[in-house]
Amino acid sequence: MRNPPRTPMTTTLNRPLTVFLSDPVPGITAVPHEDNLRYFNVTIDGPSGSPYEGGKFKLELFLPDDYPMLAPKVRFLTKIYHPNIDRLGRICLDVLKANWSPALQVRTILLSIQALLSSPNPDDPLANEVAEEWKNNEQNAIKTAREWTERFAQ
Amino acid sequence: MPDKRPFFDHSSASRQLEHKSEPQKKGSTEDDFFDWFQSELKTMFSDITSQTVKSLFHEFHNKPEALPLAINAFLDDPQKYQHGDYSRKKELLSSTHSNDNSIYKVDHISEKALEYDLHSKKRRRQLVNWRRYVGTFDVECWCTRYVAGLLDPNEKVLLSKSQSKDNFVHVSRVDMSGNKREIGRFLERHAKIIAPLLERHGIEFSASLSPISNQKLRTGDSFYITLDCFVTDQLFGTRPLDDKDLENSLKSVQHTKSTNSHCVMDEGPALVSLFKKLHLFSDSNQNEEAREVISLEDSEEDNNKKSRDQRLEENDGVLTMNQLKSLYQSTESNVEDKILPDSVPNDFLLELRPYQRYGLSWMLFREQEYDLVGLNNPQVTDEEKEDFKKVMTEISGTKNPLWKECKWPTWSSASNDGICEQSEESFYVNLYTGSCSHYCPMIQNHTYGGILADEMGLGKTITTLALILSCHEDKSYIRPCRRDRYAHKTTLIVVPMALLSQWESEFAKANGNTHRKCYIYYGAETLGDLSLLLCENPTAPTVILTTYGTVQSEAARITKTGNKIGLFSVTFFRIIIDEGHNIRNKSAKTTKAIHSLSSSRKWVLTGTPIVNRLDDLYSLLVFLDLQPWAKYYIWRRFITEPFDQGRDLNDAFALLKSILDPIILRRTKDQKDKDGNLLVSLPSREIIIERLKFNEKEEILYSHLKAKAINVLTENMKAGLVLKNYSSILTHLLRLRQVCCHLDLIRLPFTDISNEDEDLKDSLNLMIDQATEESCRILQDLEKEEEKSKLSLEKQLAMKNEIYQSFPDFDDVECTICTGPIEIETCVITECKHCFCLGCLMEHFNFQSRLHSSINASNNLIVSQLPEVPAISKEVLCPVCRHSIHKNRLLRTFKREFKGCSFSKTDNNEPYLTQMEHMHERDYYIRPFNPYGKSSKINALLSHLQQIYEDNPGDHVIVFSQFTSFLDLVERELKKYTCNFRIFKFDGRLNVDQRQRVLNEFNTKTTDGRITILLISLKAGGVGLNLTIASKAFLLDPHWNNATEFQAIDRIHRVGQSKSVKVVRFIMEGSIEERILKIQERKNQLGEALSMNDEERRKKKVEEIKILFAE
Repeated sequence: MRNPPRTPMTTTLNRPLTVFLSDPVPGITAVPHEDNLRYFNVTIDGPSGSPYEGGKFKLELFLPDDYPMLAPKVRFLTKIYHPNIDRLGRICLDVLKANWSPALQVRTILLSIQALLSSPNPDDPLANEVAEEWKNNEQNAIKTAREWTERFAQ
Repeated sequence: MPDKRPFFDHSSASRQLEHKSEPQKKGSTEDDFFDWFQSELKTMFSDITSQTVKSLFHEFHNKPEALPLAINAFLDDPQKYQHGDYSRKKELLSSTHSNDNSIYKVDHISEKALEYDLHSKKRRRQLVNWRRYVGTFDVECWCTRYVAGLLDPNEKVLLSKSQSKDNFVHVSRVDMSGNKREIGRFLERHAKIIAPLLERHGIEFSASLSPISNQKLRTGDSFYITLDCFVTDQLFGTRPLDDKDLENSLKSVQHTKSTNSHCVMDEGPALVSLFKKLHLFSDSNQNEEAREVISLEDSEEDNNKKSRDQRLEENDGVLTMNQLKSLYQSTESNVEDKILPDSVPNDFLLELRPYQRYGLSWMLFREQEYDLVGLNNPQVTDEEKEDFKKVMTEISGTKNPLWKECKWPTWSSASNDGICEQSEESFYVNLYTGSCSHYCPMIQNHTYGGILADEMGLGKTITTLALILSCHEDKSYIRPCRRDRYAHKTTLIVVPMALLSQWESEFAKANGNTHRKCYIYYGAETLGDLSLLLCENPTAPTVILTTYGTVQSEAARITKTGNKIGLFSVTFFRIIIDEGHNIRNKSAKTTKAIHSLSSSRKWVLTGTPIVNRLDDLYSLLVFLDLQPWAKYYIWRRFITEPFDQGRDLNDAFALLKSILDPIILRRTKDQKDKDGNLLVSLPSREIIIERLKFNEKEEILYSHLKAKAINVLTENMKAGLVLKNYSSILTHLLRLRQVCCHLDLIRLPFTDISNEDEDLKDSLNLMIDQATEESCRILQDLEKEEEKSKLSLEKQLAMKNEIYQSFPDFDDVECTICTGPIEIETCVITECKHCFCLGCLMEHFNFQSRLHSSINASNNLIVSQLPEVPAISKEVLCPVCRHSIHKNRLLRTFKREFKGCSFSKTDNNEPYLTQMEHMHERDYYIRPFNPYGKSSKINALLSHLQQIYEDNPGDHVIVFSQFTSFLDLVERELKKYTCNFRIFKFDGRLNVDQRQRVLNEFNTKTTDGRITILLISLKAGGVGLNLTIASKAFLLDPHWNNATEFQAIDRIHRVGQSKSVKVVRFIMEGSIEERILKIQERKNQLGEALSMNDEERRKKKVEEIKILFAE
């Protein structure tokens, strides 16, 4: 009978964290900032079999006011050589933009990012030069990516 | 040159007395002598007839001092020498108000007249028994001719008044040879005061030059005169004045006011001003006030430049906020200086608070029941009671407020001459006529009763009932042999209809004596002769309750038939009118009817004795028959006019205060008792404004109507017809306000609603109907479209079955949006059979539609500027599976309750599914979701009520709205949840019995945990009701006037409330209601409702309308 004047945010704020604690994803950590629970420090281990293997990538994740109606904002802090991630660390990922749905969780987002590292998609590029290199000379590109991982993501 | 010389040179004063030599007889023949004799007399007594002169002359002409003797004789017994037309009264009048113009009818005697004036003054001295020095002050003069040297400080000078109408006071010197030459004149501000008094009996001046540094005076130079003032016994009348004199003097004041030219001050005010200048008025307050008067008048000089008429129009008799405030403050009775002992009533079952006990004493005192004051008070001994009785009898009369006390200067005895038999320390001056008296003039107190004006919530009703039960009959009444029509045992109480039952039940609660009865005289039981019931009957009811309407309709019948019937057939022991401001309009029918009821004691109960103009009070005084103020011309002259014209404001104010002081008792909630505690400590009060959003349907209709209204307004603005078409604009506003409440209100016939808004009664016209039709059409179209998009019946059934299968017991269902478990009551299921919290999914819908609209709005912008915006699609997708979903195609789950009442939840418009439901024995059932079924306000109200039901089962709640039709809709909606709520409705359509029943039922506690809800129309239940059983209130729509809402809130926030009060006001976001809030704020700031006339008020209304539509 009741339409509760209930904002989803109040109940969901702490949920990403508790989900992580109860059901941790191997290779991914997310720690909320001390003075801002909407702000997370995230690390993603480079997936095995990818040029990023052995790297530990730092990201920042921020839940905007309209979350979960609006997607969280995620950015790589660690330099990475990837066709879908630009120099500023911005990520080109559909679920972070048009395909966001409030039913998606932070956890699913981070998993998607991890998957993006495994399978770069140069056909939908964000960093154009990297994408070109990836298309034209994949060996070289993978090599560079590996070098960058060693250099920056340790 | 100092302004004032602090000490007086006594020697010079006495020297002056011998200054002038005796007049010489002028002329040698008897004719010459007669001419002189006559002119002398005429100078002194302006309107003495030649007949009188002749007879005086005849009697005294051969005596050595003919003139003095004649004057003496004439003063001793004027009638003796008057033949025919001269009445004593007229003579008295003329002697106190000698007509300035007539004194100097003959122009050519000017120089002579001056001299005679001096002579006659001298002569007057001989008739004076004593004179007393009252003070000295310096007067600035300007020189009218060159005076060289030889100006002796302290030289006596002569004062005289010019013959012309100009208000000059000439200052003349007498040179060695006895010739008199004018050297200067008073400045006008002094002349204004002194000139009228130069002719006056009983006041004498002695003037001398103040030392001047400059020994020469040129024309235009200013110099100072030291003026010593004396009062002689002639100032005082021979007998103390009584009420008759008062009235006469009032009339004469009016008379002289109208005849005199503007520049000449009347003698009376002049005398008063003089005394003020001399600081004679006794207490220090008075002095301050006097000074204030001057400063006030000065500051209003600017205003005076405007024409008086204009100001009159502006004021319109309406008090400004500040005036009203200070008036109220001054009427507040100071608890600390109470003189009466508390009283405890007999046969009274309720406990009175201390201030109420004092109130009872005061009421008994006003009724002159001195034996009863201090009743049952163990702290007061009998002796003390006797003392009180004495004091009370003494102070029973009230000082005539027109008179002010003047202190004789104590340091002046040396300069007094004559035998001063007056040993009193003070004397009294009439502030308006200037008459003086040795005795304090009293207005005898013939009024039994008064005004109990305690602030709302302090228990006026209880105090009054205590009075009635303590003093229920006229003990002094001795039954005459002949039957008369005095209902000496009965108190009539006139109340607004809404309060009738409340009074009855309060009486029943308080009454501890079974012989005391309370009858309700209302409706069918009226008419006929009441004397049988009330006068002869030993078991006559103590209280008869009736309504204003009853009194008025009986009065109307009487004017038709001429027979005294019903309430008018007897004289009551006591009449009490509750909410007495109902009779504030002195020409209203009800007021006249109330005024013509008769009784020996009368009381007015009101929290607001003055609503917005002083005449409001006048009508109450007429009811109380407080003489002489209940005479309109007196009231007008002394109260209304000064306030209207803004002159003598402080005097009028002080007068008003002294009129009210004895008859009014007013305490406020903020006052503290002698221990420093608040009289009433109420629990805290919290008022929350909850802003609600329109749902889409409401939004569409609202913006349509708003566009329409703005259109009408701008057209009218252009044509300058805003005021002319004001009512039609108001009607548009009303429509907007209705949409804020409930869409269905639009469909209701307009006449029903217009009754609820006073301003709109005569505003029906075709244009409005068209607009209404149009909006109804829009509404219908919306509904049709909605119907189209709904799930088909088969689809619904299929979905239900699927859902029942996939969620057999509805545990563990999680909302993917908030990741929390979903409760059955708040679950919605999409077409694609995903479950969400209702709130979460609605948020999703709203967010998506906001996104769409913002994209539509920014169509022209380059997309790169909005990188975060998802792809444009009109559809809203399911968060889980991205299937397109629609609000109209959702399903909702409800908990199935196995109580009898569960089926009452079924919506009337969807009965077709119930049978299917019975086959599934699940603990929930499914209904199609109806997103716009209820108005946003009803939704919000429901969720609040549900919260209350969970947190405080058994609580009581009141819900206010201005629209009874809206309350009907709310009631219909709430009735669907009868296992949670008990619902009552209180509005203007109920008769007295029904009202009583509703209130009684509302006031009973429930045991089953259901919450009790009372829906009240703001107009019918906003005042008077006591609903303290509830501590929560909802105001569904804002009223134009904030005060009305606060009054409504005070129904629960008042004495007797034990819990803290929570009030929620619903406001539709971005709608006209927010603008109404703004206007309320503005009103609070300006207090403007009180300070304008109709024209200005209308202009303000136009401004308000602009605010309402401002973007």
